[in-house]
Amino acid sequence: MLRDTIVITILNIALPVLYFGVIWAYGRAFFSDTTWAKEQKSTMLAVVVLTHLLYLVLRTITFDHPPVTTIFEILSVLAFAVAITYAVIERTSKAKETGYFILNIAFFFQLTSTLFIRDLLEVPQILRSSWFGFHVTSALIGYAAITISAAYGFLYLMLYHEIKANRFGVIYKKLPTLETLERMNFIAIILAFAFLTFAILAGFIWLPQAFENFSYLDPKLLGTVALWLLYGVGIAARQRGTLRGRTIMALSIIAFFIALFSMSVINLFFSGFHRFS
Amino acid sequence: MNTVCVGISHQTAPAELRALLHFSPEEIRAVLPRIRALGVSECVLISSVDRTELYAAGAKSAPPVDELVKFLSSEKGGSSPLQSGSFFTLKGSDAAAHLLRAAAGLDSMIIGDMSAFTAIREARLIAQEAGTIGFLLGQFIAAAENVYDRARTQTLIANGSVSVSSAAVELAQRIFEDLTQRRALIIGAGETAQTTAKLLHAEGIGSLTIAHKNQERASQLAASVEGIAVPFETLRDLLPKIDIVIASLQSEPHVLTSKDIKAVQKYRHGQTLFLIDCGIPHNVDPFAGELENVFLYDLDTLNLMVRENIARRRAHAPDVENIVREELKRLVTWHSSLESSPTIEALSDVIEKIRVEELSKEIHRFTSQDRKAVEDLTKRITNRIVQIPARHLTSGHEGGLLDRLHNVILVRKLFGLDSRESDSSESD
Repeated sequence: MLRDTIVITILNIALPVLYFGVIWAYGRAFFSDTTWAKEQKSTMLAVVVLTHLLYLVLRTITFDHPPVTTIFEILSVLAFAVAITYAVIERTSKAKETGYFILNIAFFFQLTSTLFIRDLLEVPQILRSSWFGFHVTSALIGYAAITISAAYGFLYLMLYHEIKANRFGVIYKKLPTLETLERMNFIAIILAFAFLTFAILAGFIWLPQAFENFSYLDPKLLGTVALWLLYGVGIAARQRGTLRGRTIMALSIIAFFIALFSMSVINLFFSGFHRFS
Repeated sequence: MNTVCVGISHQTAPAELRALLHFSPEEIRAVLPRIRALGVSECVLISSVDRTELYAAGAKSAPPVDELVKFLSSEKGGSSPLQSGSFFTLKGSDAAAHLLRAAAGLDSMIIGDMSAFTAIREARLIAQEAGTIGFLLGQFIAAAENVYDRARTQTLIANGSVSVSSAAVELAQRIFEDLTQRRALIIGAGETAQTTAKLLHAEGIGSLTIAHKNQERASQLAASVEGIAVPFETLRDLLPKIDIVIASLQSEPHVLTSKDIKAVQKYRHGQTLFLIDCGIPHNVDPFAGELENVFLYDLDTLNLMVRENIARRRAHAPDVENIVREELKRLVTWHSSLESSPTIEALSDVIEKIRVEELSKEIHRFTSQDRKAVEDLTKRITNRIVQIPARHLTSGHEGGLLDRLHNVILVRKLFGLDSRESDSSESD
């Protein structure tokens, strides 16, 4: 146990350093066209993601609960979710230029986690449940994908306005094409919808058994379902071609803020059974 | 260096004269052996839109530049030879520097334009076929290739579009992920529209449709870009299925109004529409550019983009000049090493060093009287040894320039003269 705790501590400190190294490589590739950075950055990201996965698995085994019982544990899982979601998007879209912007989010989350995380051995039994772990992890990956879709929306709008304003600087030259950004945004939206689906389904199966005071009218639950519906409608509209380009990018940013509101304000002030720490 | 360069370029001659002095590949093939017959040991003739340049090397001395200028001007001038005033002549390392700068895109009409290197490479191949390129000019071209590679990969001298048409295509490529899935409509057949259509075709655009009031001109352009010519009156019907529109009509204001574009976008569900307006006055209502997901560019904007790109290229020119200087230094140093005297001197130094080292180990066995005699004896031995290869390294001995150069390289290799020289220059 002591040895595992030491390893966990080392990994906890190493992770923000590793993320910083990856961001530096992506930054060198983006701003300076450095050859080694362009060639190695994706491999470096894969190493960091695997290291982070090892860290989370080790925490789960050592402390006998999924690492989603405190806000700082959740931040680490969110960082991992952002990194792995970006890695998937990069691989499927084959566009590698945006890592610098996305992975900064993961770095920030992990750094905050590293600085303030405490190792909890005693947690309510309910938080040791595998269903709980699956439900929260799916939700966090879903929210990470929402964050990334908003980031791509922001990058799209930035490039859109650069081109419209006849400004042909670094942003114009280095970012992927508008269509590529739109496609990456859409992949993130699909991932968000898929993982929110898993989270909601897992929640509907597990929550009524776990909580006596469970209610389908819980504000947090309603907020999440509303978000899920919003993304579902957005996907359908995009597929039908009724929502394209700047409009859907702006909507993905708005949806991100709705998600943020749901996670923060509703969870803090309005949620009943759904609030625990 | 016994090398010269004579010719004309955009710096010294107008376009009409350059066109007159232009040599096709077949003409170059035919003329190279005749240039050789003027007493030149090697020659390469480079001819492109912006230059015609003859590089020649002599066996024992530099070829006569006046003869070469006279040959070129009468070759194309016929009974009225071209004025020699537009010709430039360069000798030795200046000729080498000129070639390297051309390969690096520093001597092009638009800075960073690497098309001169294409002409250099083609000229090398023709000269190799004709057997007129040898050791010296071969090294020149190799240095030019190095400069081209380094300038292209280590700097951004060749980056960014520098013509209106290529700027338009570059913009399209920043907006659309895959041009092969896109459809373009060319309205009119003005020069810019034609060039842009050809560039889009070269990039593999999904389809090209040409609409012009003159059906024959539309058909001609369509044939050259594997496109389709359609009646001008049908262009509005086509718009909903089009992603890129290039308008290039003269004296036709607002062929497409913002109302037309708005209606089209409604039908296209807001998919991105890219419009290039090359017309004077504007063929497309400028207010159309303010619609969502519609990108509208006119000639002024494209020219602005081109100017910015040229300025960025110029900013990289000093880095490319450094690359040219480095390669020129390497070429000149290499050439100098082929001279006999430095090689004989280096050989003498090596053998003298061996003599001194060995003598110093045993000189203590001799009396002070005998030491002078031993010193003189060993010196005479080493001098005779050096004289044997030295005879084969000096000019005028049997064999031509090529044999002498081979001998120099062989001696330098066998005695490790190059590595010894670089070791001693490092320790300095």
